[in-house]
Amino acid sequence: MNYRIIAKNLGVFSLWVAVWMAVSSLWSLWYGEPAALRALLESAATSVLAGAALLYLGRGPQRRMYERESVALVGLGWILIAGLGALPFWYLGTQTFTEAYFESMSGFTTTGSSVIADIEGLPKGILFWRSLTHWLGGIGIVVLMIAVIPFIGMSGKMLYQSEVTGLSKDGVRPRIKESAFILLKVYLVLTVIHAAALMIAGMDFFDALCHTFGSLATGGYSTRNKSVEAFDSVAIEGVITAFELIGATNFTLYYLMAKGDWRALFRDTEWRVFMGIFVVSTLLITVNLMRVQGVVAPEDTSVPGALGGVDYSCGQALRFSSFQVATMMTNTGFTGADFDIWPYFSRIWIMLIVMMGGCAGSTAGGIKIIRVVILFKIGMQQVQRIYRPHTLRAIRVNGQVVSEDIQYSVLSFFLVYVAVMAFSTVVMSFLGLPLQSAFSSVVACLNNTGPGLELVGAERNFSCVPAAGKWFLSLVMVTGRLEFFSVMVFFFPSFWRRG
Amino acid sequence: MNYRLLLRYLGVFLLALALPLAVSALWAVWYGEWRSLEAFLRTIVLTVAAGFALWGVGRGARVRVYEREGLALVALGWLLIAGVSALPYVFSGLMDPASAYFESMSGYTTTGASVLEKVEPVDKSLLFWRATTHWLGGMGIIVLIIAVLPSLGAGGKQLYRSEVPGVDKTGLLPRMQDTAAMLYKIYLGMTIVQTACLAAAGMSLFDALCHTFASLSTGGFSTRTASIGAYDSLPIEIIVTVFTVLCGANFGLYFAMLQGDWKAPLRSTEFRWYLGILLAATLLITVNLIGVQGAIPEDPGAGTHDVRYGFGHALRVAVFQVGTVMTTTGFATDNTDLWPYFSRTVLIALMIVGACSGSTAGGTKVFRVALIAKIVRNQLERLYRPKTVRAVRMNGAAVPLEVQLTVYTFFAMHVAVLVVGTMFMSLLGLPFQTAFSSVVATVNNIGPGMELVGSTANYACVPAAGKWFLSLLMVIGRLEFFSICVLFLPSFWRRA
Repeated sequence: MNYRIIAKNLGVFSLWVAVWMAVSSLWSLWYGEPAALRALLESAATSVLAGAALLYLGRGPQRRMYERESVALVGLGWILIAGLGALPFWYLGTQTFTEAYFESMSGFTTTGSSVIADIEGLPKGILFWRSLTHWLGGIGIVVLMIAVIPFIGMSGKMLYQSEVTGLSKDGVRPRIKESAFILLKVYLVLTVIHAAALMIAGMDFFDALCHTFGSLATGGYSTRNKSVEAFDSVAIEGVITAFELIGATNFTLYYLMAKGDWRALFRDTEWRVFMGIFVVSTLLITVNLMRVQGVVAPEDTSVPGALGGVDYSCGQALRFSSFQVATMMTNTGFTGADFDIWPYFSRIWIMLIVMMGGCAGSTAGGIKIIRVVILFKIGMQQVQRIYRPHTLRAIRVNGQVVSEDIQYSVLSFFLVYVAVMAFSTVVMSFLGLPLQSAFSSVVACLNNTGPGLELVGAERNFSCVPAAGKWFLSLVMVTGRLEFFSVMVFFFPSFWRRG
Repeated sequence: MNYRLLLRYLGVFLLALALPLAVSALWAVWYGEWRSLEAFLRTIVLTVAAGFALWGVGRGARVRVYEREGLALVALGWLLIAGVSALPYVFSGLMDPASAYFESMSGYTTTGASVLEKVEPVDKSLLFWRATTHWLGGMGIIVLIIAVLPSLGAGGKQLYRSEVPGVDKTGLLPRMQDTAAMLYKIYLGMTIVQTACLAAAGMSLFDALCHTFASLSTGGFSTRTASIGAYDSLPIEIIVTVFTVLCGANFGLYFAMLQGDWKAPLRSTEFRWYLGILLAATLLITVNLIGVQGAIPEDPGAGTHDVRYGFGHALRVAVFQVGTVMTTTGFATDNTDLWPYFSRTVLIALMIVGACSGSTAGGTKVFRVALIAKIVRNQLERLYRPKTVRAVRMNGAAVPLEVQLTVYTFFAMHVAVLVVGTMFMSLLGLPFQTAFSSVVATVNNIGPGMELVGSTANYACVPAAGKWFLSLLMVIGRLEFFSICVLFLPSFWRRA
């Protein structure tokens, strides 16, 4: 294990974190928030020191970076940066380090689960930093680093693999730096357009920027306690829905479109299935919301699945269901309505689409639609093989054959996913959370969504989770974001050993 | 799809059913249960009539059974026979159709989930019929049919493969009929031995027979509401545990041992894992239970205000419960709902793992679990050592890729069914733990779940739609998913 090159890269990451903290502090300067300004500048200084120390440790002639180092770098990088990112919250004095780390990790993994009860009470500089962690995490800090920092070079290819999953699309050039640059440009353009659209829809500049960060990176941090529900604006909800869907699409498709192939998006199987699920889910939940009319008092739980006093008309049902479906299936996690009081079916369906997630190669979380498609086809093929044992039909997606190796890794992923989910639910139950909260907190963090159900539901937050639980969920968040294996290998001694 | 052949064999199945029905009818005569006798007679008449009708329609069919016919026969046969066997419950007025089908399917799939709230007041003949459905289901009625119907010939191999997974590894006889006959002899032999043991331990002949049927088939229907716990007898618990654990092992191993190969079980990877898991789980639960507040005092005279598990008591219930759960039988000697969280989690894990392939038990099967564990370890290693090529080995031999993929897919399907099933049951209004455990307990053919369908409760509280759904889950689990899923594919039914 070449620790030196890892340290060097980590040092670079830390310096970049410092830069962005300094940028956030400008907002505190603008709004005149001395405490926040100090907290942010101190955090920046700490990050610079950490970066310098790491660079010093990593000095000297550089050797090659192999798979092992890349995998370690990604995992360690995320953990370190979340730690540095926690400093502003911690230095401000309103959060314990446990809470600060949770919030920071939730930001960088674009989860969006928050422990902060009164969001609107935070200084703007801190709020900006909070939303910024989403934006930075969004395209994978790593990809940004590849584009901007030259000395990782070709060995960065391994990092790219670990970061951007999914079947390789033709046309994404082998030179990682170039393609990363193009993706970065796409990301920037989308950011600008989204912010502009939100301002046209009525948000002020600060809110527009923060919500853009939250939505494009499919993170979910808002500047309001009630999230997007606070704005009560169909226009805003529409813009956010659109850009969430954009953010949850495979970015390599945008690369292809930027290169002139306009139809690439619409030909893509994964995208079509993704949009199909969106449409179907919206319809199902709209119908479900309309059928259960609320004549029941909110406290009356004797009627299973009742809406507790809320009466949805057709238009309202459609509005809330489409917003919530989009935000949950892209694992963003804004709240347009309190879906905790929605009927059983809607809540269960939402959990299901959260687990399925968005497209591979995007900022979304979950199992990823492409894997869902492949799993389905594998299942079909196995069932057909029973009565047609001599068929040699291969599985195809987008016209390309899905090799047995890929089938394996998809199946493995699914099984590990379920195992981690089950294990984590048991742990959270152990720590004292009732079953629904335990389960949904794990679902929310593993899929990098944000809100869960019950105690960690849409109108609440994660502050009620015990400290040990916060640390555990932070681990769960990064495990989900890095798609398991990158984090699980840390626990194998042979991974760290020489040769 | 050779429909005529299907109908003909389904007809034969129905005709064959008349015999066990008649035996139960005799018990009705013995105990003077006239209402039940009438129910049985009506069922017999209907079954024989329908059987002849189907057989007649199917006359002249070409007798070549291909994979498709074999599969359809297994799936449809199961659904039909469960339906017909539900008639005695309905005709005697004991249950409504949904509950009756549930109970009947629970019998044949050797699940053991029951809708009966109190077992003792029910007519003995009906209880005997219930236990009989276990015994028949135990080895797969289909295997019985293979032994009795020689005309299936080579085509029967597909049925056999669908019914007894993993058996081809241990070198059974090339002719299906001989293999089935031998396996059935083993089964019959064990039936006699266990009945004798239980009678010697103090059970009445009736109870001994019923409990033997339920333990050898790893089913779990008892003649007492409190299950085996009602007897409060250590010898009985030991006998039942021994026989259920034996029936949770691969019958092919016993076959091999009878041919002289005594070391066969020790060489089997699956068997070693099976014993290992049993031991580990028992130890873990025993340790976890010591000192915990229990519900039933070991010494009835001791009063209930401070009942704690001592080492002996903890060991006794742990051994029994682990054995009964892992072999997916489902008897109970203790109220596991009151056990600590950790022990209950271990039990759920055991439910999902199940016992060995080639046995009467359910669950995912130990050899699949072992295989998957090895595959996942390989995959993890590949991540940072991408050039390593380590084969996955079972029983000393490398496992081919197609088999690995099939097993993997099986597990994934199992998980998907668990997730979707839990959601469906929640939809019907059941609380989460009940919904989840009812699905786990039925798909893995165990019987009792937790909470509202727990070991001291029953499935009466499940809505009718839920009972039909769980019945479907039972047969899906028993036939290991694929065989039932094929029924839903149009291409399966189309001509060639």
